[in-house]
Amino acid sequence: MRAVDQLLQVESLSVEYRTGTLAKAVQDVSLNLKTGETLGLVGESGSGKSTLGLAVMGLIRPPGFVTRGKIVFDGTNLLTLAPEQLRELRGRKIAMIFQDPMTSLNPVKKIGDHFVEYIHAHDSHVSEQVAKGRAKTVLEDLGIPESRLNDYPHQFSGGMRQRVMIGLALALEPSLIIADEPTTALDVIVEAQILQQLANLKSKYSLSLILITHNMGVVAEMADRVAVMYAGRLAEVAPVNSIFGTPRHPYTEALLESIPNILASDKVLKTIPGTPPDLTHPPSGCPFHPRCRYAFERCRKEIPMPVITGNESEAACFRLEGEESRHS
Amino acid sequence: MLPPGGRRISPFLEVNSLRKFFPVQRSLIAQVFARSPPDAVHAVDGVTFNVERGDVFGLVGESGSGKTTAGRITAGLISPTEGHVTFDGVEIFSMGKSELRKLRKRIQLVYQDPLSSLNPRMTIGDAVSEPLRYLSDESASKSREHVSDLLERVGLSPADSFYFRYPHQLSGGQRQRVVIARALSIGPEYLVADEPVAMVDVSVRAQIMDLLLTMQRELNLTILLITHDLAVAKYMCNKIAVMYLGKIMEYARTEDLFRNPLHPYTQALLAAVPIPDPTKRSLKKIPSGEIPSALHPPDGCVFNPRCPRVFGKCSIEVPSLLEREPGHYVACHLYT
Repeated sequence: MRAVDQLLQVESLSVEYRTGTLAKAVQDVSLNLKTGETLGLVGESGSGKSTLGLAVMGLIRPPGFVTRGKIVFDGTNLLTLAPEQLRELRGRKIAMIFQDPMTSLNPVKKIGDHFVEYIHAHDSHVSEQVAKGRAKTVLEDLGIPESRLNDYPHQFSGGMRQRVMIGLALALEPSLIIADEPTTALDVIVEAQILQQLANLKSKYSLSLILITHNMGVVAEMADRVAVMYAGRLAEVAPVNSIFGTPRHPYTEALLESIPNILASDKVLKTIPGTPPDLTHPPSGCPFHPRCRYAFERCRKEIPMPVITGNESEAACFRLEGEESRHS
Repeated sequence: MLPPGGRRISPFLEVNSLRKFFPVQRSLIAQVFARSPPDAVHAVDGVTFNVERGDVFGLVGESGSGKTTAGRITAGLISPTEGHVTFDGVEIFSMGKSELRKLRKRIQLVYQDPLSSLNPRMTIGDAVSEPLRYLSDESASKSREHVSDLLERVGLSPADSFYFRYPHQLSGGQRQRVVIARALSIGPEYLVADEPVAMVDVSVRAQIMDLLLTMQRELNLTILLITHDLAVAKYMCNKIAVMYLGKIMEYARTEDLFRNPLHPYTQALLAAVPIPDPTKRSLKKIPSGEIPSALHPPDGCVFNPRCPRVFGKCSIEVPSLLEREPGHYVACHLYT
């Protein structure tokens, strides 16, 4: 039965890319999102975090295939919807923001016309005037004056373009926004400005947010709960304070020990040996075992299943087995 | 006045009043009818600092701050519009060809993207020995031994298994190790590292930072680290210069800069860094706007249009970089 406050439930999702060699980008991932929550989805390149975001948007296209699982949004399994039903949902219910706004904006189209086109694609009855009015309102929330609706994308700075993208995502008042590395291409001051605006808009528009990033700092600043992915699998999910305070998966623990922090005084960083695996030739057993300081024989042979480690927390590691009984 | 960085008469690297303007191309018609001189991007606009032997000196700033241009000038790769760079007592830009060739052995660079810095058709062994072929008289067999030794040193072990591989067969972190090994093969004294970990996976960054620091210690290198990432600069550098729009805003020993940032820009930059600790979450005071175009930098202090503590003088007079505390320099009218 679906809990009332669950907006999104991903169940045993697997996605693979078939390009000569098979890459299992997402494997057996189960995850949920509560209404109003900000979920930080973290991982390195190749961890599957972006593929998972695209899957929720219904944007996996060949050579990518969803091979297994369910994506239940607001009670409906998105994977059973016809393409036109999905298109209806996208934008109106779920919208996505990407890293590079320049590739998402049409260089020969004025900013205002982007809004008109986007809104018309979902509702052709909306007049141009109403559409532009809506554009004006969202952009004002993002600190962009109405006069700039007549400007072209190249007249905007990187930060302003990303604000336009956020504005477009908000234009149809969706309930879920998936932001994939929205501030990675920006300088640190602009990044902080945009993250702050995103947090404010989230409450104003009563949004739920999936924030995909490789930056543990951004996650610590923004997320309520954090899901850590490694080599296509979910390593750990827990409330943000638990992830940073008492990480349970060896990968999360090692990652946090290896990132520099400007507030920490003279901290010596511990390096993680090795490199993230090649998804076309993943290691046997637990994908992190070749780099794990605790790995033992079983880790090389079997894939660990998620173990409940606390309230809303689970981690996929054999070392945690036996703890489950204490919590359930 | 003593320049920031050193008090000795001849520091290892002395950068004095450096300016680099890149002219903007104008159409023929505009050139003929223009009444004003052509526009120029003021990439570096009056930068002075000294680097002592053995320093890991950080040039920190946002994109458009001029840090990369300044760094490349100190490596002799581009010549400045004005100013001097003195390397170990000799002015780089007045050198003859043979002197410059000798200098090449002493200065090397590591770039951000290891994949584009490596020739995809060249084996790792050939890539690492390439500088030796051009710049040293070592025999082929001796250089093979030397390269294997270097590969081991940078953590590509066993070296024989990497020697005949190609860049695409390595991971991003391994490729950056190759680039570092290649830069070190000729035995340089000065290394300019431009965002060496920006494109490396998060879990591999600490390895690469530690590798650079180990090499620095073992080979007594002097490193100029160019980065936008304050956490990386804090971990690696002993001295840091913060740049904004072609100028140094603040310069100090690393611990002093982080303990007591004086310039409002440095303070803003530090406040904006996302902290990987949710218990330290706070409402940040962040200046509005973005770094202006270096084509028409603001009058007076270049930060004044965004500065939360701006006052009358700031938009009129350019503040000089002055020593406020021992070894701690700041270019801000608040302190004059």
